[in-house]
Amino acid sequence: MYASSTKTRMVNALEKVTGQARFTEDLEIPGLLYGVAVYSNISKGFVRKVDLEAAQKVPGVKKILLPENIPGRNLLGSHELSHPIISSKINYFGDAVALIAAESEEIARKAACLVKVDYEEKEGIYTIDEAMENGDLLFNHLQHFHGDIEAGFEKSDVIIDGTYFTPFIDHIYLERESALALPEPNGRLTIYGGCQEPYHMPTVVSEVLNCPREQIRFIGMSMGGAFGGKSEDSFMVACRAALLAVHCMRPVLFVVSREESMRSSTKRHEAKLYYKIGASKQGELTALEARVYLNKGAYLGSGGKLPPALNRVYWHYTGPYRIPNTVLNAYLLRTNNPCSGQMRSPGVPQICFAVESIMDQLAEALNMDPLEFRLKNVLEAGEVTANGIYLKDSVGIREAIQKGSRLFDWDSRRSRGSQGDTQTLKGVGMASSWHGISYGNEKDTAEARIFLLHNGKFLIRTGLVELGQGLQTVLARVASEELGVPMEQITITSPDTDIDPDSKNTTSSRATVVGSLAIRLAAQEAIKNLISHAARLKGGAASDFFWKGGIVHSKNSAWSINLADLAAQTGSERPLLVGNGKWQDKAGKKGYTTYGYAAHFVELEVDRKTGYIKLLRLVVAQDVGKVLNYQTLKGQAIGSAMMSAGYGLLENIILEKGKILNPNLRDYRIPLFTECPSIKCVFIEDPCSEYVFGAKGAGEPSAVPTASAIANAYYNATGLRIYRLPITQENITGGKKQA
Amino acid sequence: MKHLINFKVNGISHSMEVTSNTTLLALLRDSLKLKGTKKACGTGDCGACTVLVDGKAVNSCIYLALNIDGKEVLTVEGLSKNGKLDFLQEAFIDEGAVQCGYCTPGMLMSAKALLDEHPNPTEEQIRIGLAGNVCRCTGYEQIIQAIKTAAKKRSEYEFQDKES
Repeated sequence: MYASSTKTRMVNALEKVTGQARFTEDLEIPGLLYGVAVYSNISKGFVRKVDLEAAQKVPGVKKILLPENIPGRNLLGSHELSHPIISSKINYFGDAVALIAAESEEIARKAACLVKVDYEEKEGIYTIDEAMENGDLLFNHLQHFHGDIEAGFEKSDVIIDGTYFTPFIDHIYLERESALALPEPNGRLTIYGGCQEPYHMPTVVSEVLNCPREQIRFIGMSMGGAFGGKSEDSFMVACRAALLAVHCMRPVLFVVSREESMRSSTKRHEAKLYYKIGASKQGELTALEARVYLNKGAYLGSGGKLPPALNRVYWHYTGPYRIPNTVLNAYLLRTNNPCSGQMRSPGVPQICFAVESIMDQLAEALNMDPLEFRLKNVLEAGEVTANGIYLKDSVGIREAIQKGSRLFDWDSRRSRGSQGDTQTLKGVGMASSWHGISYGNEKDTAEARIFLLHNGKFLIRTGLVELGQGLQTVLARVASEELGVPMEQITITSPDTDIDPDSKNTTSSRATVVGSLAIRLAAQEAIKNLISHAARLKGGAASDFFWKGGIVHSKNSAWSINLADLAAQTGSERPLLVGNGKWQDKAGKKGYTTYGYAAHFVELEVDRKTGYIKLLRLVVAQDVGKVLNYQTLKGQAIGSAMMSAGYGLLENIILEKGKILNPNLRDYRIPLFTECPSIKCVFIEDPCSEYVFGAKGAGEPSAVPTASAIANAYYNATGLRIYRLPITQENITGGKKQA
Repeated sequence: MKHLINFKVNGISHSMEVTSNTTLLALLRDSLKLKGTKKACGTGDCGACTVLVDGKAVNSCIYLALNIDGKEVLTVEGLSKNGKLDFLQEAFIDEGAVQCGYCTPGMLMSAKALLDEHPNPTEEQIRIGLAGNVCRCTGYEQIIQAIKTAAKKRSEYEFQDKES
């Protein structure tokens, strides 16, 4: 049985505290060139002419590329509305009009300043409302109906509706996107970088270079955070590095400054959400109508017209509640803003803000405690969601609310009501959320290969990626349990597309889950093969032997053989593939196997004079199915919650006609040490029977509800209902004072 | 224009010509190949590039290399002594204060400057002392715990050292 209490250190922590971990920008390769892009100065229009003369004269400039220099498809993806690698039609400020390679970053940047671009500027479309009025800008419209919405609202004793707004926000992974492309004379090209979709990288790059996919190899380096952003954004820097590298036939490191990263990287979708929810006098939800508008920005990315955010809006729009009558209309809109993409539970934090705000308003209208009201309506195991997903087991939202509230001391804190002193107002609030684990479709697959090394240790390749979330630690731990050997005997590798299996993306809180499922299958095969191997050595049938703690024992005698001896007997010093496991979700699968749930509780104070909001206390309760590694889990849960707190209080990409006015970490602020409250965590272990040890992915559920809990606590303190995040001075003026 | 400067990094003496606009970060990473110090913003807003100059924490991305003439620089590579990890490094591992690890070198150096000045810091002092270091992964909680643990172990060790 899995011992979750064991305090396991993160496997690669030592290299990170000594400065030895190697990130892409740390690579030293002889003859390295530096690549930069020349970004557009307008957000909509055409490039009439590019004058490269002055830039080309800068000593040390090796190559300047324009769209016509791209040998293959000038798009980052298969859709015609995907992001061009180098643009002649401009759709936002992050379009690149030229690429430059030079002997140093300084020279490349100097040359970039000297590229003269003549634009024909057009009027752009920036807001969701403008885009809705223009029919050509609707990328997609999804609908969902459940029950009878009119009858549902007729049965309601209380109905609350409202329109809510959430901003574009940036991932702010501390390591900016970077890629190093190393061309070989034989036509092959190796890309070193950090990417959440390693196996897709060769496909994307080969299409741009117009070469066979097999010519491109991707090797994953240490990654300085990702949060969903290092998919499309990693492909882009890799394609640009690769183009420059093949044109110069020298290695190229493509770098972006923080400002360029914020200008050109994907964002969490800006959203406008109209929600109307009804409940009976008894406090039971009766009907929910939602209209969700997502601002996709300039181009389509992964998922094409059904990006993860829109897909997740579809599967999550009701919140984790039982509502018999629901209707959704969700719209994905094109504008001349930064592109939106995947960011921690795409689409769900936006929904959570609308749903959880109205849940509190309904509770107030019904004169019920907001927590009791939620507990009356949360989904239970055995129920079917509005979208038709049967929740077989592992529905820990009730327990999360109950345990979280006890740890927070909700009853006594809430009953004290909004209070404070002459200087401040105090308030408490909570919010619940859910996040569907992995993809929830039949394309969901993962593979693990277990190699026996000459020294008797195991090497495991999955193609899944360590982003800083602790994946290698968790997978090593799972493999150690499955193989029955100490964790120290197991190494989990970083991606290399020449030799790894394709386990798809390290996104969607899926890597722990699908990686473990594949490793379990691989471990079973490995044990079987190692027993057979021993049987051949000793003589006898495999059934005469058994496996225990990394040693094959004979059932009939005292004979046994350990892994190092077994490896030596193969007569080869190369890693020996002993187990291959491929897991695939069920054919015809539609909808998630399970959800991860979270309930967050917040206490805050508001300065009566300045309006400054200080978080005092935060409790994070999360249903994870099973704790695999307490330390990394806690880091994920608290880190997620503070990212959501930033969404609630600070973060906002400020745009003026598509131009980002705060593309730096001084004007775009994320939470600091001084802004984080005292944080406590409680994990609910309601196991999912389909998964290894019952563990569900944990990276996203807690990234959803904190901002909403803060907005509810703010209302509790001040009586002002928040309709627009983040809760800043400017946005508060839009709040309605409750009568 | 180039200037000759003399300085020590992690105890080793160097004499080098630098241009007026060379940053300390560029000197460390590009000239001395000490890649442990990270660049995340380049504008002095995030603290990932923090190193110590004569014991004081500075953002090396906006600190001119010229200013280390005659001084001693300590980077994350110089934290462990004779193969033994610093108390802070040990505590960062033990308390789970490391996730992606990109902010970690800067965090460690700011924390060292703090503990050198305040051997037993209050939580408030830790929060203020490290307010210039940004982390996106952890939510800071386990970093605070690690610094508290390191401070405790360090003072116990120094106490034993005096006793023996």
